[in-house]
Amino acid sequence: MGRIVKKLINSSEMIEKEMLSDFLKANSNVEKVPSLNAIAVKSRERRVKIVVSGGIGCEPLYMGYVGENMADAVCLGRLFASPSAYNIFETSQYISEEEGILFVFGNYAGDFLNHDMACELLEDQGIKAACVIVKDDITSEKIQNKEERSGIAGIIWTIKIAAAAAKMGLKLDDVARIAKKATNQIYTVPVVLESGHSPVTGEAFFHVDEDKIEIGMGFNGEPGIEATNLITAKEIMTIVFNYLNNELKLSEGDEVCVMLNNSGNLTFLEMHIMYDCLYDRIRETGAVIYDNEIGRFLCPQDMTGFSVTLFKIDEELKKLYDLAVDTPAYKKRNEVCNVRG
Amino acid sequence: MLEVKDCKNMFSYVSKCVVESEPELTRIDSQIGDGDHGTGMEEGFLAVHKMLEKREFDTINELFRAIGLTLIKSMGGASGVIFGTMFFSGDKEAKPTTMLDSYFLAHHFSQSLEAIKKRGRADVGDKTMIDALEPAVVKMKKYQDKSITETMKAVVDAAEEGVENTKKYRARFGRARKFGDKAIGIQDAGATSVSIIFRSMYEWIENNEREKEGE
Repeated sequence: MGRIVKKLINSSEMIEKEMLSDFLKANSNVEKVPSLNAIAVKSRERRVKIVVSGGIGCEPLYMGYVGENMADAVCLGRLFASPSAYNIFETSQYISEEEGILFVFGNYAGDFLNHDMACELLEDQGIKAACVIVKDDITSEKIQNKEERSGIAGIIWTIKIAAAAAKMGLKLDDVARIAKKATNQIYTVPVVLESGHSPVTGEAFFHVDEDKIEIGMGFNGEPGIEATNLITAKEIMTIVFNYLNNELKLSEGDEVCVMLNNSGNLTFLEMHIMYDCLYDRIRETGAVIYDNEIGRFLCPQDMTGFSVTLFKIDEELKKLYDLAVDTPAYKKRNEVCNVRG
Repeated sequence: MLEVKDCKNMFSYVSKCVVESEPELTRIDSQIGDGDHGTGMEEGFLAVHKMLEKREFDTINELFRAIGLTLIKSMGGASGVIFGTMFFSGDKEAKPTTMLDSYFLAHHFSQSLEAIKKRGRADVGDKTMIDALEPAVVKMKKYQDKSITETMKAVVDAAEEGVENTKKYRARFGRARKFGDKAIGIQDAGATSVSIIFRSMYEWIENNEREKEGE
């Protein structure tokens, strides 16, 4: 039995409700979907709508990504438990226009089941719907089983591209096509030093040996692909980059967006020491860094760890990527200007 | 053949039987599953029973879809979607019909079986409800020109054999998956629910026929 970590909540039964109620107080651009644990942006544009759904706890998915040029609505489940297919359907119905609904979600059995069902329920009501499934975690399955891989930080940029395509007024089929194209170009490797802790009990979700770093370990402690002894930031980042580049095969002239995600508990100091090394590894290939994001984008609570996401981008995707976004967890200005390289 | 009114009565009876099976389903599911399958099915079919008391239907197709939708709405979780799909996701191109016959059963359940396999990413041998549903559908197709009584008799045998077969398999889904070889020898709760649904359909049809003969 490990150490119990201190947590600040009121009561375990109320965590979802209180989080939602605060979120509405803090963000005036969203409203609650009546009688559901769901929120939607207030503005009503006639275009394809992006709906994302999932349990809470892997933060700030999905609530943090609702807003301008990102998700139009979020249907919340309970702590680490998906909402029902019917609630996803009702949330979508609430904001849908005749242009239809696009779902973006990570490749997990339960999420697929619910969203595929929600699609059929929407179509039954005469509302077009499609799914884009994110499979960016290259450590979760070997390349031969690419289609079985799970979705992690790549979900965020997939939502971004889908939402930008929707904003441009593209038809549902085209929004889905571009979002699929984007998500197929997104590759992520997660690394875990320490487990996160339950926000309710303060107990660790799983155990990582004191002297080990796990590459590719899942958020629930699913075994990784490599456990190394404690090594330097440079060494670990080189291992991570090599896994990514084995598949991505970056070369002169390629352009990539880089997301260095803090899975919860790393410091500003650690993150920038690691980015320094990541930058060098990418530049050595001759590839250009089109944009970078360094921060907390996907945190299974207070996990100690990080993930590196590389998104190989072309002219079509750049136009969409460049669109400004404004959400609680992710803000970006129109032009890409902060990158050196 | 059953008229819409009969079919509705049949499913009221089916709902009652599923609800009464809650202790048995819970006992089976508690061995290697989450233990919530029985109460989930109870909740879903209580809702179906209530819905059938309130609503009238013009066609068999409408009735099946309403049952499916009620299960999806009331059950939640994977079972809600899977058992909901079993009734909701039939042949969309099918002509609305006012008679339930073997042909309808074969077409409806073969389509919904395919939807379940795709949606659940599962197949025969994964220790799921598909192990009972697929052999039942094979019989429905084979018997589609026969009387509904004959068909359902064969369907019940096939589904029950399917439930027996689940004892041989390791689980690929849910909590049961972690049990590995220890899952062998234990039947699947979802497959059991399928056999309860088909058995109670058959019981009602048989009773109904006997009553008619007696008149």
